[in-house]
Amino acid sequence: MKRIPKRRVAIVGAFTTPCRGRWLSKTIWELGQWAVSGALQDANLDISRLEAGAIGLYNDIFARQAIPESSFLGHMGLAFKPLVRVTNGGATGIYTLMVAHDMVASGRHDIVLCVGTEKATDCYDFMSETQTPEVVQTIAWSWDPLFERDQGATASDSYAEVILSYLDHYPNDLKMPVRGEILRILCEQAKNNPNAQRRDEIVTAERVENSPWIIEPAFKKLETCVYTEGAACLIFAAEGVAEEICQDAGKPPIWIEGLGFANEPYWWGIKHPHKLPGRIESDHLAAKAAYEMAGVGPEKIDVVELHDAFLPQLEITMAEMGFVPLGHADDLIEKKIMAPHGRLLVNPSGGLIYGGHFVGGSNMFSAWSARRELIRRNLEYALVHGTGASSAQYGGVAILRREVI
Amino acid sequence: MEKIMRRKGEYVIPHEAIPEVMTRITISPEDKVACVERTESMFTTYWASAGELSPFFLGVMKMKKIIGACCPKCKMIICPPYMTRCPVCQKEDSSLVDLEMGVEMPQVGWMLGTPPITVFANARFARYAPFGRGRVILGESQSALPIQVFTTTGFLKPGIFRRGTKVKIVFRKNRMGFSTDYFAVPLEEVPDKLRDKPGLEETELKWKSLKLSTPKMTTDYKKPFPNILEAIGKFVNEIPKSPRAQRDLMNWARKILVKTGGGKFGLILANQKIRVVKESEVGKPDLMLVVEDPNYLVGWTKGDSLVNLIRTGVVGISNLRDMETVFKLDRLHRSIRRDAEEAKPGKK
Repeated sequence: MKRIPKRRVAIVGAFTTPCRGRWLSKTIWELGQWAVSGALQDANLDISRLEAGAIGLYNDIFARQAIPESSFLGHMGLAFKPLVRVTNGGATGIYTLMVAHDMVASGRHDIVLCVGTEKATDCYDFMSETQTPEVVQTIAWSWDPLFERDQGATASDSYAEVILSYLDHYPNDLKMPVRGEILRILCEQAKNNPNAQRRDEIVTAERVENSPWIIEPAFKKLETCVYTEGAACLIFAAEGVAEEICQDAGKPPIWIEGLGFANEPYWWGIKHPHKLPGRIESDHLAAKAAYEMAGVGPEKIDVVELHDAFLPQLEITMAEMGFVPLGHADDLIEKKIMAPHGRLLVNPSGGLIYGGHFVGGSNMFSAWSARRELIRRNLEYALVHGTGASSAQYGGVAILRREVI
Repeated sequence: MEKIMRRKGEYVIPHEAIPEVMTRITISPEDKVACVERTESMFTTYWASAGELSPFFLGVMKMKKIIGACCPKCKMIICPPYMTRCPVCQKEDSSLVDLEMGVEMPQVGWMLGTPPITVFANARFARYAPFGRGRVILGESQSALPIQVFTTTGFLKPGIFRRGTKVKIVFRKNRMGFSTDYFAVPLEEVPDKLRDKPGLEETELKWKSLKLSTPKMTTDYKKPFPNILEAIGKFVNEIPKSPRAQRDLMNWARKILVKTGGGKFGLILANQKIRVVKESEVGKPDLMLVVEDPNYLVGWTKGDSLVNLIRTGVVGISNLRDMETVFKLDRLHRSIRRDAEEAKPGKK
C-alpha cells in the first residue's frame, strides 16, 4: 500500500568527516559536532533555525558511556530542543534517517538534523594487543545470551550464516571471479571519494582470490567491511522551506520520495514467523515498501548506495531489492548491469568495504554520497540501503530524487 | 538454593584481559597532535536468571533431554522454547495462546544450513576451536536450535556439515546450564548402537586424533634440516627479549615432538621460554606436530600461521583439543616483532 506522508521532505545539506580506522586526535563529540558544522555550512544555514534532531549511536560500549546522546545535544546546537537517539544494530543510520524524516513529514518540525557518529577503535584487547578482537567481541554481545552467545557466535557469523545458507540454495551463484570484479570496481570508485578510508588501496580480482578466508567459503579477508571512526550529518527540511534554503545554498533539494523498513525475527526456522535460510527478507520487504511509496521500481534507480557489510551480502541484497533475480546475483557483472560495465552505479563511495563503516552514521554517509552523485552527474533517482543486527535481521531503504529548481 | 557449581580458576573476565590503570601520551600519526590515552573499562557482572526458560536448561543439566514447546491451537512446535505464548494464535479474550512447555524433542535432527566454522577464536572460545556453530531442526520443530557442531574425525573442515546433514545431539559430561552443555556431531560418525540412545555423552564417543604417520625422510628435506633447526632456535631465543612473547607463554608448559621429512626435534615450553631439544629429550610428548616439508617451520618463524597449516592439512596435530598451544605459538612472531620495533632508537 502506498503511503503518502503529510509533507514532502528534502535533504538540504550534508557533510561527512573523513573516514579513519582511528581518530586518535578527536573524541566522538568532536566528530559529531564537526559533521553538524559541515552540514550547516553546506546548507548555508544559521544554527538557530534547527528545530530538533535525531542521532544514530550504535552502542554504548563503543561510546564508553550509557545514554551517550545526552552529551551531544548541546554540541549540536540543540540546547533546549528535542533530540532523539536511535540505536538499531547495523541499521542504526537508516533508522535514524526514518525518525528524522518523520519528524518533518509529520508536520511537527520544519528543519531537523540527522546525525550519526561512531568511535569504535578505542576498544582494545590487552591480550592480543590489538583493537579487532575487542571491537568484534563488542558486536558479538548482540547475540542471544542464553542460547547462542556462549557457543562462540561472532560478529562475522551474522552474515556468514546468511551467505552460507544462500549458497546452500544457490550453489552456482556468488562466484569468486564476480566477487573479485565487484571489489575491484568498489576499490576504484573509492578513489573518487575524498573521505574514503581505503582510497589508496589497489585491489584486483587476483588479490581477492589469494586473500585468506575469514569464514570459508562465505567470505575472504578483502571482502569484509572496515571499522571506521567518523561522523556524517544530513539536514532535512519540509517542502516550502527546503526550496528557500536550497536557493540560498545554490544546490538542488534532494527529495526523500520513498522509505521502507522491515525487521526479520531473531529465531531461524523452516516457516514464518521464523527467519528463513537463504534469504534476507528484510531487504526485500524494505525495498518493496520504499518503491511503493516512491512510485518507482528498481529500473528507475541510477545510483545505489548499499550497506555492504560483506561483499557476497551486497550481491544477495541487490537480488532481494529486485535488481537481479535471486540465484542470479552474479548477473550484476555477467549481464553488465553494474557500472562501469552497465548503467547502474553501485556504491560510488566505495561502500562500507572501501569507503568506511562508522555504524551509527554509515547510512548517512551513504546518503551523503548518493546526494553527491545525483548532483554531480545530473541523475534522478538514488537508493540508500541499510542492514544490521544478528543474522542481517534489520533492513531499511530510502529512495532519493533530485529535482532542479 | 542448590550447591553452586563452578569451573574453578575460570573467570567470566579472563585475568590476563584486564589491564592495569595506565596512561600514555601518543602522537597522532596523521595529525601530529599529542593525545592522552588512558585504560578504561565498562563492565557489569551478573547472576543472570534463565527465568521461564530455566526448564530447558534444567532438562539438559539433570536429564540430558532437549525440550521444546507446542501451541495447542496451531500445533506449531518450537525448539528451543524461547517464548511462552504463540505469537500468531489468540484466545477469545484476545490474549495470546499459552504454549505447552516441556515437549521432549528427539535427539537426532538435521542442519538447517551450512554452519560457519570458527578457526581463529578469541580468548573466551579458544578452548573449543576449531568449532562450527549452526542450527539444527529436531523432530517437528519449526524453529532451529542454535548449536555448536564438532566432528569426531579430526579437524573440522567445510563440507562435513551442510544443509540437511543428519546430526546427533551429544551432551557434555559436566553440564552447568549453558548452551555449550550440548553439541552436535554428524549422525554417520556415531556408532549404530548409539544413534538412538537418548542422552548420549561426549565420553561415549571415540574422538579420533589425526592419523599421524611418520613422514618419509628424503635427501631434499634432510639437507636443509640443520639450517632450519638453527632458524627455529634463533627465533625462540628471541622470546626472553620480548615481554609480550613471554606473556604469551605465561603459565603454559608443553613437551612437543615435531616430526619432519628432514628429521625430528622437540620443543619444550616452560617458564615463559621455549627450548629446542633433541627428540630423545622430549620423553613422552604432550603434543605432536607432523610436517613433511620442514621449510614450513621456517615460514612459522617469519609469521606464517601454524593454525592455517593445520587447517589446510599441511601440518598434522596429535591433539586437536590443544589448539590453544598452537594459538600461543602463532602469537609469538608478532609479539617479538612488536617489542623489537618499540626497542628501536627513536621509538617510545
